[in-house]
Amino acid sequence: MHDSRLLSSTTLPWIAFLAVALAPLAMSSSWTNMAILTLLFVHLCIAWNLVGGIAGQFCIGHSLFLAAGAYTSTLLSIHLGITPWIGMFAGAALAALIGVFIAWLSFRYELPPLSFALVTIALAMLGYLAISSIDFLGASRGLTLPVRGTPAMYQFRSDTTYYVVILIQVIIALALSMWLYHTKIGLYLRAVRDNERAAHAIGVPVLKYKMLAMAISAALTAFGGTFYAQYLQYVEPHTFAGINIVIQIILLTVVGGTGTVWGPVVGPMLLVPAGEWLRHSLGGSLPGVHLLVFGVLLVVVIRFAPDGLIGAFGRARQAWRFRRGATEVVTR
Amino acid sequence: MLEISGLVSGYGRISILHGIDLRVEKGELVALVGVNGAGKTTLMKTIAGLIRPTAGRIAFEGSEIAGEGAERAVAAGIALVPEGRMVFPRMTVWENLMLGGVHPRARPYREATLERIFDLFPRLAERRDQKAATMSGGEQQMLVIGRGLMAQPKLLILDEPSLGLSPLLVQETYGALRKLNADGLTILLAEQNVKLSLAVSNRGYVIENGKIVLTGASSDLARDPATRKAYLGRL
Amino acid sequence: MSAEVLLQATVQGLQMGAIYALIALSMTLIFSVGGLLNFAHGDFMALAMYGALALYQSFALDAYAAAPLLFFGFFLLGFLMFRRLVQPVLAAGVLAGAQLTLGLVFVQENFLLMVFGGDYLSVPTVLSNKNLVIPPLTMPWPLLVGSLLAVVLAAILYVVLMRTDFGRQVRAITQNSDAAALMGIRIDRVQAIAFGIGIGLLGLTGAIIVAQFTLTPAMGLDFTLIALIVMVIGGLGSFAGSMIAGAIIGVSESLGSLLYGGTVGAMIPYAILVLVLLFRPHGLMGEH
Ligand SMILES: Nc1ncnc2c1ncn2[C@@H]1O[C@H](COP(=O)(O)OP(=O)(O)O)[C@@H](O)[C@H]1O
Ligand SMILES: [Mg+2]
Repeated sequence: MHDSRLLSSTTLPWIAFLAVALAPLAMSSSWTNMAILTLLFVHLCIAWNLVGGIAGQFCIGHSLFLAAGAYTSTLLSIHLGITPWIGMFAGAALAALIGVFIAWLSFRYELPPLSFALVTIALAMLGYLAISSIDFLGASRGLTLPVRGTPAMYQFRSDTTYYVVILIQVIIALALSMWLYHTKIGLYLRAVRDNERAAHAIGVPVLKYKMLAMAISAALTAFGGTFYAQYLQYVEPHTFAGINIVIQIILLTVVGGTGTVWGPVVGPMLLVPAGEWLRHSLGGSLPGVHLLVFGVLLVVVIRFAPDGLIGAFGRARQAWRFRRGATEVVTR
Repeated sequence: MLEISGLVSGYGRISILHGIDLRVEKGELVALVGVNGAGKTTLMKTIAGLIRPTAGRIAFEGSEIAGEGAERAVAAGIALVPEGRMVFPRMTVWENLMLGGVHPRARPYREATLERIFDLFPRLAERRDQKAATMSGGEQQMLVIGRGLMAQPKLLILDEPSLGLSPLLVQETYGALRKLNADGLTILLAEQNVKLSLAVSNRGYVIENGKIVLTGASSDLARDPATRKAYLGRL
Repeated sequence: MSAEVLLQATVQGLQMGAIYALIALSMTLIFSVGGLLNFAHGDFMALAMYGALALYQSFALDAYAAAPLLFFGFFLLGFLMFRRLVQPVLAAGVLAGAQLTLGLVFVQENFLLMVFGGDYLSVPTVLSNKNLVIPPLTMPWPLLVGSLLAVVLAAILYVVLMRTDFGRQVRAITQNSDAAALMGIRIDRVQAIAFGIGIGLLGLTGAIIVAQFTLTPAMGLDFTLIALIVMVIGGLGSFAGSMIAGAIIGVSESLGSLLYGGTVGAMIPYAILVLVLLFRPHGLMGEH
């Protein structure tokens, strides 16, 4: 009994996740690109969820962290020849620093949730506008990475290798997020989310944990940024510093279920492939039609399951158990 | 006028009231007394349509209003003066009162009722344009009673109007209630303050743990040692 | 730089500011309905602008004549949308509501992209490309008329909210919804109407300023952000505050881009927003 519950609560989702995530390896290479995109979003959603879901801070500024990871590693590679394998840590450090600063700001000035969202949006816009106008950063044209073609410089001949890299990143991020969720840190973060004042009153060091969550979330997002930049071998402000990508990250997480461990995994795993499929089957007919259908799909899910698919799944399971329990009573 | 039978109500899946029977006749002033947490507010809110009961009936002038919502209760002629004042803080006294009479049933008589309320509570007339949040507790209590009266109620329900008021203000508030009742208004009053509420009312009910444990003429209840026991039993 | 150029930029900034203030006030109205932060705000206005384009193309209807039509159409859209979509989600919390509107951004932008394509478009009107010249000022008629109408509409909205039973009901729900229910106010209905008016105003606003802008499907987000900024800086629900904040943002944007270039001009509103949120969290004129 105890064993089976353990299996269903942690092991089973992992097995399911790995089975789905590894499937593209067995398929034709045309799937690899989609799989990479999916896993990249899983990674970014897991990162955002640490702050936006588990700690309940509605942050719209994650484009800053994505940009930090993408631009830092790219610039170091272009100008100093430093491999992105090292540059990614510089980018993550920079992102973590920005994240800690934002967390400090919100704590120091006691920003209520919606004000926090607005401050992060404004900072993100400032970052976007700055990047689009600074020539050293390529301005709105962007920067192209020189072709070096060696794994040591984070460049691979086959997409499959990129796929393996992002898969490993996702596994690390997921394990980290799971560990955080179930340890004292996650408990404290959730306490902060549910009632910051009460958490403070019972002795939770609110600022410290907010900073920690933000730093981890920012660093993970930056790793995603480095990966995406190296994969495209190209950075430009709209993709890497625009608000649109943050909106996508948030929506995908919301559809899966914010504040849960598996929500940010489920959301993108279902919807990114669905979006790509829509693009393939509808994209040729009219511009934007696949994104429209995709958007409607998102809205419908939010409408009927505001707590996401994980929440809806939990409710359905509970209702089923309840029904089964009730029949047991009757038969007895 | 108001006839409640077998009422079960609460919050979510938790039942707080376990089968309440209570009636108020036209022209009466009825007191509902009970200690903190006995279920008075839950009962008042259920009558006023803010909480949907899970079982039982609430008949008002013969028609069933249980679970029909607050708008239906106001339309039927029930006004609740809620616990804890609940003024509209960033609006003036006048605006608060106008909102009290915003229901179509009361709207045509607003100006006339306003005059009556200003007669009853001259203090409100003086502070007509003051923001409600900036007034004292006693003034806010007068305001919410006035706001309740603006709805042209046939039955006025008050939930702990004496809570947090100085003895002098309590006297003033109760004087106003007595006057309103003498003018023909039916009143149901929930109170922890047994002595005072039984002194002004005709009949009373004692509620304990969501059940009515005693009922009778207020003067009898006030003398009945069981009332004291019901009270002390929980302390 | 000559004084004339500065004056010109200031006047233009003030005129833009009046339009910003109107957009921010409709956002405030929607925010007052259960605390919904509407990230799709500007997208509704973009939709209205494209609506004006469609009406022009199909019926040769001038945007100014189409304005009342767009108001009623958008009122209906907002009313129904609130009932069927927004209200159930809002019941799950304001954050879920905000997330829903993020989804609507996606839907509307791509709807416009699908129907009208991604090219820059403009809508010819009776006032397009005409200027009013009062030396030393040259003012485009569309902007002048748009800003004057914006001030009038904002004033009407203010009067409706502050001086009518409907407005008092809206404010009562914002301040204490349980007490509002006790007054017999039908909260659902008042909220749906308020939301409808907010969206309807966006329909109207889109029509009266369309001649001043080139249309692209993604233009909405910029307006949303500006409206958020003006709403917050002005102090939630403060009419005078929104007007002043609109003027500050409009003028600083216009002077900023004149003196330091477009990017800095675009950055100034966000910088101001951050500073205001940190140091005057209730805005310039907001009530605590
Ligand atoms: N919103 C609520 N949710 C759950 N339980 C509540 C709520 N409000 C009150 N209660 C519980 O209901 C019981 C009766 O409360 P109440 O009706 O307020 O009593 P009274 O007004 O007599 O003091 C108490 O045990 C209280 O804890
Ligand atoms: Mg009570």
